[in-house]
Amino acid sequence: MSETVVEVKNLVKRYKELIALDNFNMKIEKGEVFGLLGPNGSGKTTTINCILSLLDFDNGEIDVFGEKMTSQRYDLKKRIGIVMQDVAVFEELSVEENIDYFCGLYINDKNKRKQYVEEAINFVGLEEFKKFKPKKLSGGLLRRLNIACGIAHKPELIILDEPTVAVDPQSRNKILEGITELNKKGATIIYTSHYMEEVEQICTHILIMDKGKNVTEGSAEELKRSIKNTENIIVYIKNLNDEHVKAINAINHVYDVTYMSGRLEIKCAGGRHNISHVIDYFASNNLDYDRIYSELPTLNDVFLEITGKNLRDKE
Amino acid sequence: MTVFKAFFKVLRKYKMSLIMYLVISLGIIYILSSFNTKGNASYYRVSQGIAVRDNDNSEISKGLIEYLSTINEIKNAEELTDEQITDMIYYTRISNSLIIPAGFGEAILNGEDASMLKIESTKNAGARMGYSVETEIDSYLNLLSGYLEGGFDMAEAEKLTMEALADNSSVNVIAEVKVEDDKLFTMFQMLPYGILTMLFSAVLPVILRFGTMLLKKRSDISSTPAYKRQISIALAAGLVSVFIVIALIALASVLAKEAFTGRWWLVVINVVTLSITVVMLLVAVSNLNMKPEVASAFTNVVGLSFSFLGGIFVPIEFLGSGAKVIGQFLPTYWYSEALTRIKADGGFNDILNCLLIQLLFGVMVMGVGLVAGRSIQKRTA
Repeated sequence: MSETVVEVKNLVKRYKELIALDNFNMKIEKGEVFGLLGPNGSGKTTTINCILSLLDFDNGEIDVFGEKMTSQRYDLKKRIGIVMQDVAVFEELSVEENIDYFCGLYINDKNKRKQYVEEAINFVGLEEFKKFKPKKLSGGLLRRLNIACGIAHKPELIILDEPTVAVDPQSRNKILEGITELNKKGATIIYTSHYMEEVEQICTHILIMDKGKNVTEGSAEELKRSIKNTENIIVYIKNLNDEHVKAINAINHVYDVTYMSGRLEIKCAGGRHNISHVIDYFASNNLDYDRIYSELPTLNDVFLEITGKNLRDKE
Repeated sequence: MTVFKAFFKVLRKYKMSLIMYLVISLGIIYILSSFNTKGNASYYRVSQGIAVRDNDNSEISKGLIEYLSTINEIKNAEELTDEQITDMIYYTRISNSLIIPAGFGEAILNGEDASMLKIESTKNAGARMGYSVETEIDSYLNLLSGYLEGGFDMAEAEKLTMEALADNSSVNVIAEVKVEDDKLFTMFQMLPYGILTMLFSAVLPVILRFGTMLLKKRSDISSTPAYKRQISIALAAGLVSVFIVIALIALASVLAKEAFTGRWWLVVINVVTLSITVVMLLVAVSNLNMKPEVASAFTNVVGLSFSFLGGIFVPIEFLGSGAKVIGQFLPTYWYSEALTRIKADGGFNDILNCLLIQLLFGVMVMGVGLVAGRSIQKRTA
């Protein structure tokens, strides 16, 4: 039987007139990599802050490890690690001193802490930089330090709030690999992001939220299967007139066509070999195109179909 | 212990500020103390330039000029234009321009009150030197009038007056004991500047660093309660403050060559009281969610304004009336006042109200700081 690590029930949080969380519900099971996906301002960080008791909320309940979470529950806090969206480290302390400080807020035993700090440094690959001050680190290395500070005390629940924002691809991959490894070691992960590719790559369960509400949830495959869209065909083609667009829309299994700045996007629902039908149409009408390819629907398509807007609309 | 230790690690970054303000404080103390130890006496005479126009040309006016010339450098105002005299006063090449009116000597001989006679003295209102020349004139004329009234003839009266005023130097020798006292007071007069600047330039930014929004948020999530972290920060800040204050007291005492005397203890009590007040001010400011980088600008503003208006750099009696009124709202003013009272042989009871006012300032500012801090915290939550 699965064990619930976090349960949020009917959470309401208001900032004066603005409703940040509107009867929001969420349940996270032990061992999951739980992706909290939504556009900027959808309520992801507010949810996290409420779970951590950094914010008071207006209504609802939050249980962590099966017990009611409050700001005084230091026993529960000890089992949680947080990697915040913004890098929060002391500029005056070295990499090693920073990790030791934040680990020290959880672990009193000096020897145990020393070992944990060493392991955290190795885990994020900062061995060569442990005597460096944060100012000397690149953006990616700084993010890794931020992560090390949050996980050094070996928490059972790790919350990563957009940890890859403004990170170079190499560091991003390193971070994502690290998260997967932490999960394999037994940690339950809550991962918030508006990068759907990342969420799709590492999360075992995904909750999409918008305007403080739970829009939908499930595994990436389940979410994709739940929508009408089964295939997107992208064509780069110049000088396509409205007549052609209408004609393409009429092809079997095509249900939506958009043409903008030389990019034609064709959405299909079901069917096989849809791309062949499109190519046939171009050939029969003597239309030359630059490039054509087909892709499976993404989480953005899921979000788009449910909310009518893109995940990154607000960026 | 983690937070306590981290406080000192973060403090390392500000060690240059500590050293810089320590050197500045010591420099100021050294310069001022060296003024006080010229020769054997505290009351040595300073030769000043004086422009004199003698419209009287009487025996008395000549005698006065002769007396003044024994102490000061006399310039003949007849050879200077008014503009030149004004420039010389402005650039402190002379301290006074004197015009002895016609009939001045006769008035003295007729027994008129010397203080009522009008020697026109022009001086720079902000300079101390101009006043001492006027004191010299008053002393000479008062003594001379006394001798004349006593039946001495002019020549004898002038001779006796000169001798009597020359004897003043022996008073200076007697005042040798006072030199050490003055040195003690000079040393401790300057300490508030050192305490203020060192605490605000080094301790304040460290406290502010721990209160930075993101770091505070990260710490609030941890399993170490906020009150425990705050106690650790307060203990570390207190320890550093105590160390700075003790070091400065020890240094000042060594330089003043005085310790463990009755006056010394009173002076130390005064410093400790001010230090407690400064720490309370520190607590108030650290609640204002200020960026650590702003602390250095704040240090200069507080250090200099408190020192100037509180009579640390300039004795209270030389402050303008407006500055004095403002100064009375600052703890440094009451620190200086207490020091003046101790210097005038005042005991603990004489300075008690000064100590209480300093503490009252601290309590009030800390109260306001805490309330403001809470309101800021609510707004940023």
